[in-house]
Amino acid sequence: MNNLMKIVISLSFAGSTLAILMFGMKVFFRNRVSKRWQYYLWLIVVLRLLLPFSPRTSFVGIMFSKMDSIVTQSTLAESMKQGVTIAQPTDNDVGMFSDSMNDKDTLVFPLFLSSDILKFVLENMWYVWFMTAGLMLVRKVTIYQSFVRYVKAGKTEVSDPVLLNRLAQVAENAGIKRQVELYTNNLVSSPLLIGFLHPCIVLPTTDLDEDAFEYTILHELTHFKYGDMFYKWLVQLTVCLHWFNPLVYFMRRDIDRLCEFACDESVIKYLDKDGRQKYGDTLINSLGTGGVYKNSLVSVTLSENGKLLKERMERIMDYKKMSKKSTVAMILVTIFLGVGAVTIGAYLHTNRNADSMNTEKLEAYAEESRISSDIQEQLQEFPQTAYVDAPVCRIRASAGEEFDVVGLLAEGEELIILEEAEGKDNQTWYRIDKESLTEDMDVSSVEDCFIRSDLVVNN
Amino acid sequence: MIVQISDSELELMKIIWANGGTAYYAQIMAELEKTDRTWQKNTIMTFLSRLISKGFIKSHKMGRRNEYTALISEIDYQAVQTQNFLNKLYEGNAKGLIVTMIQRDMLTPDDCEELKRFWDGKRDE
Repeated sequence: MNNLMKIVISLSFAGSTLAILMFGMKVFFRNRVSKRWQYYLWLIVVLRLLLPFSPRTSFVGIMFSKMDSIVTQSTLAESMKQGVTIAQPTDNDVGMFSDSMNDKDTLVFPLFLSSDILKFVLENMWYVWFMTAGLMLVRKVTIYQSFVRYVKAGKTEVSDPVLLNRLAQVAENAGIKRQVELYTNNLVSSPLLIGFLHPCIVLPTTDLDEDAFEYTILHELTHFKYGDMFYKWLVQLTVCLHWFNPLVYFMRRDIDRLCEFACDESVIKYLDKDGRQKYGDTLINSLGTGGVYKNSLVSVTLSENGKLLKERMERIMDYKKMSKKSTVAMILVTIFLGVGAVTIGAYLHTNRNADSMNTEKLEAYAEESRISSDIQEQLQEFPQTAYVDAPVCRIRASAGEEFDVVGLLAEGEELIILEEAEGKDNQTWYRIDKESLTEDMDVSSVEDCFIRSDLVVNN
Repeated sequence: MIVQISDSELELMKIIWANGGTAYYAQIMAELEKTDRTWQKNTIMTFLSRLISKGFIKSHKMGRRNEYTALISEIDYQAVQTQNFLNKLYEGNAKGLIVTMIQRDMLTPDDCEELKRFWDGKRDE
């Protein structure tokens, strides 16, 4: 499998684990936890899905490395079926090979990837992933652009200084320093905000009473203030990259909902009961005042979904500040999720050969090695090219000679192959994980283990 | 063809024109306060940026302040607007406009005399 693909899948896996955790916790959150907190808690999951950073050893990293070795092993097994066996060196060469002779059956190579077609699909999967992700992203961007263009094409500037003054007052109260532009377009389905740096509010109509106008503006400016457009695009990007993962679509839905809840929360926080009632009225009235233009993607609208609106109304009238207990609990949950996101990690190619020396060694081996009929000779060939922390197991494989690798392995472990390189004369060199070697061996001085297998096509 | 501007935007243009074609934000603000208009900063900035995008003015950073320069002169603007007005109401016939003005006493006999002298002067050139 392509490395890029492995990274993406490992990110998806790590992110999904966190997402499931999030959905699970929602049951406990209910109304006890502020929506804004829940909204930003998702950011941890989003970042886990996007950023291929990981500690050197992490759950997902190890898991994917193992999967790697399984795939490599199966190809190894495949080649062995074609008449390759692993030779056994004599006892005096490397002592630890000696007692491994009798356990032939314990070495099991998984063979589930034997089909060539499957291999081909795995190798080229990344291409499909890449194309789909790219197309989705381009499509989203163009849809958004054309939406903005349509909205702007049919706009009417609001030139009534009274309304603009009110807008300015609301913006000032909300702490927004940037100049806010105000248009009307009777084709938009509900009030919306476009523009990342220069906020531009588009209303279906300005025929609103004073309160409704102010609450509408305040709602949209609150979205701007919290940078919700950036968050929404970040989520859209995540969805594009993880399009194959059904969980990200649920995640996006929840984030979109929480975005509105969080915005309502910020608006009503400073309102009294009467103000809340009016704010709720504004939301209801804004439904169905406008035309048919809808932004299904990322612009931040006041209200588009009737059912969501009902829930929002309930939240607005039922708003309570978070209790101290909940706050403490949420701090812990956030830390837990953050630490979880880091430790769950991701698969990183560099994790395996962060020390590129290893690869160089392996390649040098592959380069130098020649087929020799005599193991003794073979092993004597290398000492001068080896280094202090020399590889302990160089195993030559040729037809007729058999060597069981099992003795090298720790109990219940499988051989973990980290890398492979093509050598001359159909040889393949493998660098194996020394963790998979038995503890009986003195592996403390061993940095890497190399195994060589020769494909001898003599039958 | 000049894009139409709102009345408020025209107010700002008049201030800039009256100030010799360029004005700082502070000057515009001061002028507006004289006429008892309490426009918020965002309101003025919105109008100014709309004027910029319509090509009526350009802004130029002078230190930390923005200087606004008119790109269209008041006379040009008046001429174009008058032409639009004539076309819309009198099918481009200026005589019709003058007749209306005289009938409704918008032009006094003195004004007519002055116009006549102006016209004679023009013809002698």
